[in-house]
Amino acid sequence: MNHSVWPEEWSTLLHAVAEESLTDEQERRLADLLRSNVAFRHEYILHCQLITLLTWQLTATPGDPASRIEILPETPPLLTGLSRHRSLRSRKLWIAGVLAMIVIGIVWLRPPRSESTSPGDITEIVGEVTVARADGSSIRLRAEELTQQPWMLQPDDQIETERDSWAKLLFRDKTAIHLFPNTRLSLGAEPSLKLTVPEGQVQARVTPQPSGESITFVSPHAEIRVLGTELEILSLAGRTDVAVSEGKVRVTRNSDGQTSEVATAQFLSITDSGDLAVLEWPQPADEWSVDFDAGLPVGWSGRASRDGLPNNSRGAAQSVLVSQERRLSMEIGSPTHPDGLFAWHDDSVLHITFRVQPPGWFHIYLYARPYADSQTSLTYCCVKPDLWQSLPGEWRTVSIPCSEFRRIGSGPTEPMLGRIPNRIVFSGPSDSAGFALDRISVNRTGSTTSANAPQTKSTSAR
Amino acid sequence: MNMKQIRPWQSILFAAALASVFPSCIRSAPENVSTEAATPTKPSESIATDVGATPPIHPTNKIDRPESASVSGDPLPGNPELETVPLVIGSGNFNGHRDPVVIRFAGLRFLRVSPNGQYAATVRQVNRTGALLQVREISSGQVQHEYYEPSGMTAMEFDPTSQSIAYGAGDHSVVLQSLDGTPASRWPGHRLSIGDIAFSPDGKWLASFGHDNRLLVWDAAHATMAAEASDSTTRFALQVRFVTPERLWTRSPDGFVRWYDFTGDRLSLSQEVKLPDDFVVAATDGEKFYGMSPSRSLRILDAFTGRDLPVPQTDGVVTERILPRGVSAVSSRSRDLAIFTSGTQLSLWAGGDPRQSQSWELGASDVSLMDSDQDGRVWAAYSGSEGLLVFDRERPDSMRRIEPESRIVLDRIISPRFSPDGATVVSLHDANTVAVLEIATGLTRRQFSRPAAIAGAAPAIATVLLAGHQNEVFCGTGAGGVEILSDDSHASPLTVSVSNSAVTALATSSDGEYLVAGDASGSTAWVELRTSTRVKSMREQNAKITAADISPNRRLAATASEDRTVVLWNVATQSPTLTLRDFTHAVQALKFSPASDWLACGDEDGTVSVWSVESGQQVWSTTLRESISHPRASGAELLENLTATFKPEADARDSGNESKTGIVSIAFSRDQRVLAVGTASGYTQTIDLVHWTLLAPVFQQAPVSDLTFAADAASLLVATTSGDVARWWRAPDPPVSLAGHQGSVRFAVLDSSGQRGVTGGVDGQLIIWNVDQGTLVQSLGNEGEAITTGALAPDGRRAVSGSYGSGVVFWDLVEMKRISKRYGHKGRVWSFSFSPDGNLVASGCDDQTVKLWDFATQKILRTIDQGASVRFLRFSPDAKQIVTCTIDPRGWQFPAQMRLWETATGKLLVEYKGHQVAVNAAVFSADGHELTSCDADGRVCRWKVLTGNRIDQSVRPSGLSHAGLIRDGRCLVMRRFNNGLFIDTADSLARLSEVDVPTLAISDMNVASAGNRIIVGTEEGVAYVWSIGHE
Repeated sequence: MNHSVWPEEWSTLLHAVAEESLTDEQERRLADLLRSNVAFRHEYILHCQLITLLTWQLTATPGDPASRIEILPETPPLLTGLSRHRSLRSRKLWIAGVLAMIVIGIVWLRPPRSESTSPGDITEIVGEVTVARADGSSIRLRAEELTQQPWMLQPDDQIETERDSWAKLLFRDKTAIHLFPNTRLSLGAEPSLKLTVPEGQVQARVTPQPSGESITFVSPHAEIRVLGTELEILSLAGRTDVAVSEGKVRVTRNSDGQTSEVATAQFLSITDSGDLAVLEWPQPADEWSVDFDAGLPVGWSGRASRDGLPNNSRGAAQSVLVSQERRLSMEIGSPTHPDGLFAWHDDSVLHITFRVQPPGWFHIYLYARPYADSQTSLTYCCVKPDLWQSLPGEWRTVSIPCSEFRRIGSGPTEPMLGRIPNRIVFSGPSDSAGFALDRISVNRTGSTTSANAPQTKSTSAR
Repeated sequence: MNMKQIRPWQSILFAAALASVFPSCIRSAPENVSTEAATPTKPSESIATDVGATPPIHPTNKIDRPESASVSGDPLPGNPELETVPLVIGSGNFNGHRDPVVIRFAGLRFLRVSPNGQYAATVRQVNRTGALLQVREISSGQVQHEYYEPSGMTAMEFDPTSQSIAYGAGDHSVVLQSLDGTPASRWPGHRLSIGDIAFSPDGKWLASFGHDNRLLVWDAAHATMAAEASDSTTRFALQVRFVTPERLWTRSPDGFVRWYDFTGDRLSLSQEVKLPDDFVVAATDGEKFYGMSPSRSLRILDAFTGRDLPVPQTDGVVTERILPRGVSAVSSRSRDLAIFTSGTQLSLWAGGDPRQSQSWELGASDVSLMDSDQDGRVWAAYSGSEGLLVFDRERPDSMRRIEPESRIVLDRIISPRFSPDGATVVSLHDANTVAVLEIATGLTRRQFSRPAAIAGAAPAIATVLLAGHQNEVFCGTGAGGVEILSDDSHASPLTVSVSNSAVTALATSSDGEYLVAGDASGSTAWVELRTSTRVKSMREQNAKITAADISPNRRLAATASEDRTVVLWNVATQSPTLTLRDFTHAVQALKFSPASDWLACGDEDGTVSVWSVESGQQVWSTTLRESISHPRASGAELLENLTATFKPEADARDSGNESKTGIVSIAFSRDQRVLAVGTASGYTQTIDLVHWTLLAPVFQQAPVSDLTFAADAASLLVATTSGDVARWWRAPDPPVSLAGHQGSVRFAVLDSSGQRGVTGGVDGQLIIWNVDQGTLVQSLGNEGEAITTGALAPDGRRAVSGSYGSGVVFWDLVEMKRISKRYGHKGRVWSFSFSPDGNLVASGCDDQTVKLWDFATQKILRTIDQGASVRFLRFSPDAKQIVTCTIDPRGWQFPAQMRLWETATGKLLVEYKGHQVAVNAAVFSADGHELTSCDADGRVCRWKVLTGNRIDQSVRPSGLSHAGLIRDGRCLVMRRFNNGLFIDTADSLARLSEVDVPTLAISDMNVASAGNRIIVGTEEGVAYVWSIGHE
């Protein structure tokens, strides 16, 4: 264990643990670190093993239960008062056992290198992802391998998803990058500054960088320099698409050095020779809500209801029977808003206050369009049948991260950037008593506006 | 370390360490939870820890279960009531599919006004497979004729003389039903169900247009088929209309209107007219189509040319956006057009001209059906919220509701009651008449006139009804009498006076010897039914008697009272034996168990308790969640309406059925495993009496008035105070959800034990699941190729999968790797099957072959030519045969082949003939002697494997696919289009359970062959696994 690499705070905390002198503030901080920091957790476990070892050595006496199992190792000089009749063989076995446990623990925790050199982690995977190391080795990672802890990245790593896999990278500065299928991303020697995307699609939320520094994405067609923004990049053989949903990026074309700026709600498709024409796409607000207090908004499916409203509510929407594609369902749904209902960010959360009568249920569908095509529709669905039936007949408010919505159905054949939700539909079985919605809202948990969380109505009935 | 003060970080680490060192501790948690469920818990604690948890349960004594409650499900020796014990499907959830049985208010499927404006004919679905056709006289609103069609109805039309009705029956026949009482005439001819039906203007000919794409014209007078037209393509039927006796057209979903010339014995296609793709037809008068453009503005098309006709304008404004709901109708002769526009208004345009417009306020925003007589004078509209409305165009104030009738107000108070055998339900038809409706058909089986009405006097207000064991009906009155209404023509209805106050509760003994009547003052009277005399009356309770029951063994009776007591009576002596006083609220319902050893009680606070009648001790109790037992949280609107419409007369104000909260009805299942309670707020809550747990509730939309389990315990019948009866099918316990796919799960299968699940989806992932824990074990990529079908070896160690192409992918699920992709087929592979030893794989393909693969080498061993695209195949249990199902090149609507082949030689052994459409699935019995197949038209057939003889068949109203056997082969599981499961008895094809799966469409379904589990894959990317029975 190399104490010299411990940050000051870790050292303080771990020594305080050993001496049982944690203050309340230190306890809280320790709990936070144990929850959130894999490297600290690893160091903590090793530290605790050492403490345990020392404690046993210090406290075991011939009459103690611990001593009866003869696990006391070679007595240190300061413990000369302790019994010396234990066999050397058993002490060696014990030491070997402890060492083996530590080795197993280290292997199990599997830190590739110390955190000080790691730019970040792979935190989520769907399917299999290949990580190629600078030394020529490569590792195939599967989703289940991240259940214990994230995978620590190293400089020069190249992460490659397959036709059916996804990955999420989280850098130390909280910059998050999603790798879509068939994507390669190279970290480079200075991973915090330059990321290469030879092919595929990434969606990034870049934490604002210190003054004078910036992160650059490099595609075969352009360099995209960002300072703190949310963007998507699609790197194809013939073009690179860039869309910015928050902030601004500067794009420099590789072929001729021509530059262009792409700002919030703009889209740019870069080829080796075409015009760098920035396209505006309609970006709705981050927050959106409807409360049905004034009845059903124009164009919505459903019917206005005042039956057993929750407190502080003046109206709700009740599902109605709708026929679509020869299928009947109970539905409440918005009309299609070409400009989008809300901006779908990485941290967007949908909040709904609903009531469903057993054995009813409903799924939530978000229909979305890409940035460059106002017609193409992508369908995302959220399925939570257990949730809908957990409180029969009672109003309930739940928050669902938009990241839990899964793409269903077939979308455009060609890869396209964009996820502008322009219609939301709640749909349940046709032969049920249906369901009611009192309020629907979307906000961002990671944004500055998250403090203005939607007013959660009381779940008690009026 | 001070262990008395556990700190947060310590607890985190401790929990992590404990979980890793002692995983069994974590796994045993559910058992602990289960144990705790049987120990007393403070309600507040339970709610605080888990808002979704069931309310606490309070066992108050040692529970001595009767034999009937044994977990094994074996029949009770010597107890005929309990000898038929069904296969256990689950704990006792009755939240499966809901079938309407008697629905007076909603659910109309067809509405027609007779051409002469005299009748309105309505069709409702009854018991899922049947249909009830009722013909009402519009002037009186009374039902004049009613008919039950057991196979259901798919189309309906009056003849031009208004003397008969033709309909398409669910068995694909055309049925002509005369209203003069002569028997119906049934004409088989179609292979699939009938999409529409039409009479020629002179009434001589009847055209039927079927989903088999056949247009048949019938001679209505001679009941013979006169002519037929079909172009042998796959097409559904939307509409057929005669324009003249010699000319008619059909309309299909392909957007074509096809005109035919008819010469009396020949139909000939004269022209095809393509309607615009963006045109939505709303109504037609035969010569014009009225409909909508995408902007929902009115368009009128010429049916002969398909071209737009000018849309009339009103005051210079084009009729834009006037068809928001697409509900409209045209009178056949006057061409008056009615359009349900916005809000609650109906616009009526004389001759289709908006300049000649009238507006009608319907008071309903959810009109879904409209029709008129031929002159456009009498109109009818059906609204889900308001019922059936009629009005006369000539009389502006003529709008009125003829269904539900005003007497419903009475029915809401005089709660309908089931007969003891559950075959009928008794309700008050009107103030003078009691009606007995048949559960199986919805038909009015009998009507009894009340004694005073027969004598020409005004009957005392009815307060409570009871169906007796001898088919008689008892009606308690506000004047303290009990009217005995009987089928016996020799016995005139009579009234026995039992009290000076209103009769509020009734019960009879199963041998018909005694009647117990409770009254509003707390008195209980005994009536000897043989002599119709009151033999005793005692006032043992201090407030209104709310419920009464006599035990099945006829030894005890019980009466419940608002004074918070229940009195047990000795039937032999008619004297009280015990008073149960441990109630905190008025007791409103009670019921003896089938074994006569328990008494279940329900009170106005929603507490249900079970008592030992021998010891008088409470053995168990629980209080329902407030939202279930008290109406304010749900259904408040409906109950407020009920309260507003009921103005009780003085002598009936304290009658027994106006409870506003709590439990109002109770029923035991015949095997005494399940208790059902109904609440005033419209919920039915079932309780597992084996494990003493609350199960899934269901909502009825009206206060529950009575409950009874079907004889086979497969369904629960629920009557509500609105007069409706619904059947809730039994359902397994809630499934485990397996969520991990992006997009549709097209392949979902279990190993033989049911512990390992494997799913494949359009996201190109093959995922292996630990079903017991509901966790993902491994996700394997299919090189980006979607997985649309597959099979798993019974031991779960090997799998094969297919996609949209011809490749067959082999998987090793021990090494967790994709072994290889092999080619050999020349088309899309639709179906796979593993031999029971897991060494052979059969694949069925569009290239009209079946190929046998050696899994070890992934080489093709044999190819069996099929002559048509193969959509399904399955090895027999000994792997010596393979059953294959093909599809006709024209589509599933055409018959295809189901055949048995010898595996070793590829020799054809048997062809099974009987299905009219493509067979979607087949399953061998465990011994391999029988085969059960199901098809896309809902037909299930059982076959002798080696002879091809059909043993049995049944028909379901929806298409079927994906068959499997569970519970040692005793239960047959099939997928119902699009999102349901049927669980039947494998030997009799009787329905045990019907489950609605929370999805828009099930994309795959399989079962664990040796286990009791079912897995389905859904369009939304989630797989569900049900465990059937008590594992």
